[in-house]
Amino acid sequence: MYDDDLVDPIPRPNSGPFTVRTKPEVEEVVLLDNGKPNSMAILRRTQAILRDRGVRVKEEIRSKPFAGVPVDNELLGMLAQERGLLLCGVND
Amino acid sequence: MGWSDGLPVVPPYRSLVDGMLDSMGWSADEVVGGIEAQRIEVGAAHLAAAAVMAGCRPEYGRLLRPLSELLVDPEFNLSGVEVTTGGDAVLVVVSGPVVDQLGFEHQANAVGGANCRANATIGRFAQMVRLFCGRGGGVLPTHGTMGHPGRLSFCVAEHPATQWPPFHTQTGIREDASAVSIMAAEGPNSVNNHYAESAEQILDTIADCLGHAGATNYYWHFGTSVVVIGPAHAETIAWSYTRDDARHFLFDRTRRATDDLARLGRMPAVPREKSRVVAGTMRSPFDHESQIHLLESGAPGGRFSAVIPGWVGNYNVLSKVVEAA
Repeated sequence: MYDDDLVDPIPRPNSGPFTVRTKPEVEEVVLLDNGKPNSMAILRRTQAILRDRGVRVKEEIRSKPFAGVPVDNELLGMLAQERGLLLCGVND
Repeated sequence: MGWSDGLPVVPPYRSLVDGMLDSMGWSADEVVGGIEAQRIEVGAAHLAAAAVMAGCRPEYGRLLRPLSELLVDPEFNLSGVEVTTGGDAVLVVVSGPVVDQLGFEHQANAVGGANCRANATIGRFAQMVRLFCGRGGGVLPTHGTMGHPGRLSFCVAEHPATQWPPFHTQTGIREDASAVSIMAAEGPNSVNNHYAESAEQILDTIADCLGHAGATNYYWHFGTSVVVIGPAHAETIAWSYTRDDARHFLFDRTRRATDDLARLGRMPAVPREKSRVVAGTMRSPFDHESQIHLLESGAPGGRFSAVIPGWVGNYNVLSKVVEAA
């Protein structure tokens, strides 16, 4: 019935090329609290367990302002500078 | 390609999309909004394609335009609505003269399953935009734990003639306008009260539903809710309450003991400061009565209302005027 083309309904990200490190540059774990109710409690426990096992874990745990919104650019920039393995806390 | 909500769609042929763009008042290369954190720009053509796929008629364009602008408003946090564990949908509310002009069903099964083209397709359009634009171009998975049927279509039209001023006056839009409003929403809960003889009995029943032990907002307490008041309930309540009085009553009565919520496991062991959990006090899922929005809709006959809880990550009901044809 129609011989014209289809219009894509899905907008695609237009970010430029970026580099992904698949191996941490230093053996350290960096923790990010995503703002969910139990996230910080889980991360502090995680921190303690990892340290008991001899893993180096950064003391400071940075937090998103609220779980329902993405990480802002400032925090994202700081996290991008980290050279260790980044773990994000989850849980309601 | 991920171009479906699970149901068959109308193929977005360019000729159909061009017609929809024309009715929405946009050119194909216009950018309507974006999701900055995901480097996504939402173009008019994306939105018009979704409208075609949802089965919208071109004459809905004057409503689809402000609805589109609301959906991509950063305050609505479209991506958050899509990916949250809450399994939320976009509730679309239509109010004012446009309800009759575009042929919305506002009586039988008005909250869902009205089997009416305007309700079904405009509600579906909003969910498709959520689905197509909220996942970072198909990169992000959704995490909805339960979801609900409104994630396929969720549009409620208010009666053109209401006991109180129209729904949109609660969001600052003038009374004689037509408007479209959106809220990120959980599924609706039915509230049955057939034998009440007073407004207070009905409102207390609604408050019990707004504040049931499992209400998501108890911890964060800054979400909103829409209460759809059926015509029989609205008539009884309006005998003795203005809308603002009814909102105040509901806010006042929607409470549970913090200690009881903690006993049930509704409060984390170490609450965050901003959630303001205080042992020994009564707790509301709302900070203020303005978070409770009343909407008049539904069929005469039964004595039902419905509570539609909002998502905690989206703080307001957002509205825009629908321009006259």
